[in-house]
Amino acid sequence: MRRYARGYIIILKSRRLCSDRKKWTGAGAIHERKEEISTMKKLITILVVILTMFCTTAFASAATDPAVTIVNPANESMVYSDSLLVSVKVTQPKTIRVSVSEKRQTVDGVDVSIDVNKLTSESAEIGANILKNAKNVQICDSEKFTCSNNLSFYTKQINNLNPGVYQIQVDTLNSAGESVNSSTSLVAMMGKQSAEDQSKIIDATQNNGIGKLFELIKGLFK
Amino acid sequence: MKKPNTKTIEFFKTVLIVVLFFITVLLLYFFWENATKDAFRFTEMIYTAEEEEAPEVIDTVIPTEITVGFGNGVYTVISDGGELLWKEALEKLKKFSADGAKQSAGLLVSEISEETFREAVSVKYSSIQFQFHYDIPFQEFCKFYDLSQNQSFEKIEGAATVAWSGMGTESILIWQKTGNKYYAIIADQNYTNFEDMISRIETGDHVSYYPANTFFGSSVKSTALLPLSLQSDLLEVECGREGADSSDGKVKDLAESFFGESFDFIRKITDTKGNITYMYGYGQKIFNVNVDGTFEYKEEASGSSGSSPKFFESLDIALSFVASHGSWNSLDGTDMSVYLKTVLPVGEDKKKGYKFFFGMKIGSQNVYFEKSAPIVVEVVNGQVTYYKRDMIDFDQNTAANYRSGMPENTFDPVTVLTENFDYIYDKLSEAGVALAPRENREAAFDGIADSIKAMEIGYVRPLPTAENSGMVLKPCYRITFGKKVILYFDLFNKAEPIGSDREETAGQSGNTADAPGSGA
Repeated sequence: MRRYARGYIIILKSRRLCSDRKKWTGAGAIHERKEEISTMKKLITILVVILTMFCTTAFASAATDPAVTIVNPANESMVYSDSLLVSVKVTQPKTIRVSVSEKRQTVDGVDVSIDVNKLTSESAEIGANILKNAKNVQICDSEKFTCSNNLSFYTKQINNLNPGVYQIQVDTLNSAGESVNSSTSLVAMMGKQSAEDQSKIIDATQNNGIGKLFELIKGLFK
Repeated sequence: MKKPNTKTIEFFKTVLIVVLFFITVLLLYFFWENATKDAFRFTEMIYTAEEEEAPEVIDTVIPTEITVGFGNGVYTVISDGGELLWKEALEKLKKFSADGAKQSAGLLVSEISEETFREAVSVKYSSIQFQFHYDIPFQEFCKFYDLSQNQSFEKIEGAATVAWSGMGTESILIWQKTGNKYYAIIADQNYTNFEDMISRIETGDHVSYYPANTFFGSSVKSTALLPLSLQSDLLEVECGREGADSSDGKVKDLAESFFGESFDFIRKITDTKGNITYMYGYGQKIFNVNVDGTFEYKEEASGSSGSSPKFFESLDIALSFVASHGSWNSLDGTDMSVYLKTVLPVGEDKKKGYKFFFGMKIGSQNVYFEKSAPIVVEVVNGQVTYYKRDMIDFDQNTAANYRSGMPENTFDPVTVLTENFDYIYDKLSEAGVALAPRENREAAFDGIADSIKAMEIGYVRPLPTAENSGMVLKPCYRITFGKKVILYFDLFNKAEPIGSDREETAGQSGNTADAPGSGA
């Protein structure tokens, strides 16, 4: 949720255009515009869709192992990047298997990535159905990792990911190599932001009286 | 006996009169100037140390690290080879200041909050930070690098980090270590852009770094950057102590550089351990040749000049002093690559001078000296009052072949922490870092991870012990934790602990705030 909220703030901020000076010192109050409200609605829709999908997955899968935690990506998060760090914490001597797959949907007989932005234009129910009916396509080989003490971290970087919805699945294996517990984490990869998008982002929280004074003083010298 | 002729006597009288005349002039000059007896230093009259080539100031003041955020959650840290990037950045800063000076209101400086700075260098935006371990007085910084400045720049006392972020492309950000203050130098337009530099680094070979809280989860707040995985071809390097044999002529040459060729006015004292002390007067100048291979020189400060010391001027004095007293190479002539590691202000109110700590490199790799620094020079009011050498010496061919050319995986950086949990726990507890009980391993580990300030790669020269002569440089991880604790671990071989340090002894200023890190 924390990461989702952060993602929302980025989009929300990107709608605001302001001079760079305002970014650092601030000026003016926060304007609640219709466009922002609309964006917020869309993002809430994404959250509901991912939550729904996650719950479905969670119920469908085996019980999670308390000694295995998917630290990154946080579940139901949105990542503005084309690169993903998978970090799994294991707190008992165990062997785990980590698989990363993409949720893909079939459109006109062709397998395509789920358009995360398009999900926002649909209702939560339709969005959840898209995810429910999507199939998992493994994007890299599963990896086994053995923790021989009471605290270890498995880490892996996956690069060049297309925007879409991805699932990280971690299975705890028994001595026969069979899965006995399973944990999953869903993440929406939004793609890397362009520098232009970044520069449009302003931090409205920086708006304050000092900023206004600063603007005023600077105006006097113009 | 033959009586001398009149002509000879007259000639002798003439010479005597001339000598007496000159003595009279000299005595008059002496009383007129009211000079003290201390003003007469025979050694200085007799001997002036021959100055060897000193490094240029501009080549010595190089960022310790350059941290680059790609705006996609991934960072990289450039700790070697950053000289060219820094010079390129200086050109961009020059353009920024020159164009900014032409705008109607000029460039303006505004103090910003730490949160804003951290946001700007967070995972969300592409950013680049040129980081020093010390504050460079900002007015002098602008003057030295020929940057236009105006009255508003006076707000910034010093700059330890110069940064640019995609969050505000028109601005340059400054972190002042003293007082932990943050500033934005604001322009009206995009006079500079580091995006191309960042893209170039991203598309080139680089090691991916992530903030600690990305690796360890939201229960950890530290945003210190840790490498994901590393490959290295660094080999152990055998070396010796500089001037290991104090009877060697090189050490005598060094002593002569302080006192002159004649030791007539110098007392030489050898203690029971074998340490030799050369002393001039009643301790005005002391030079120690220690049995551990270090050399120390102290000189009584001659007085106050009244004006505040100049950073770059003092640094230049330090560089020249070392060049003429032992040189920037080892005493045996081996080429050493030395850089300015950190600087501490000294004297009353820390306004009398600077203590410069120089670090050393083999090739492009930093060599960390456990509980020491290779060269330390203190300059007070333009006079060198302290100078210490703890240099090593090695075969030039050995140094040239410090890389095997076959990179292999180092011990996993994150696993270094889990594998050495108990050792780190003990060291941090000793230093007073508050950690959860050891039995609660997860919470205790979160405390350790929270305490991480930086993780670097390089060589360490461990302290000599009975088992280890200390003369092998080992490839290492150097991790800085809270409470100024520094721990060294083997870069390979299960990351075994190979030493510990404190920021003060390692020549890092521990009296001010921690570097902002990734700000994630």
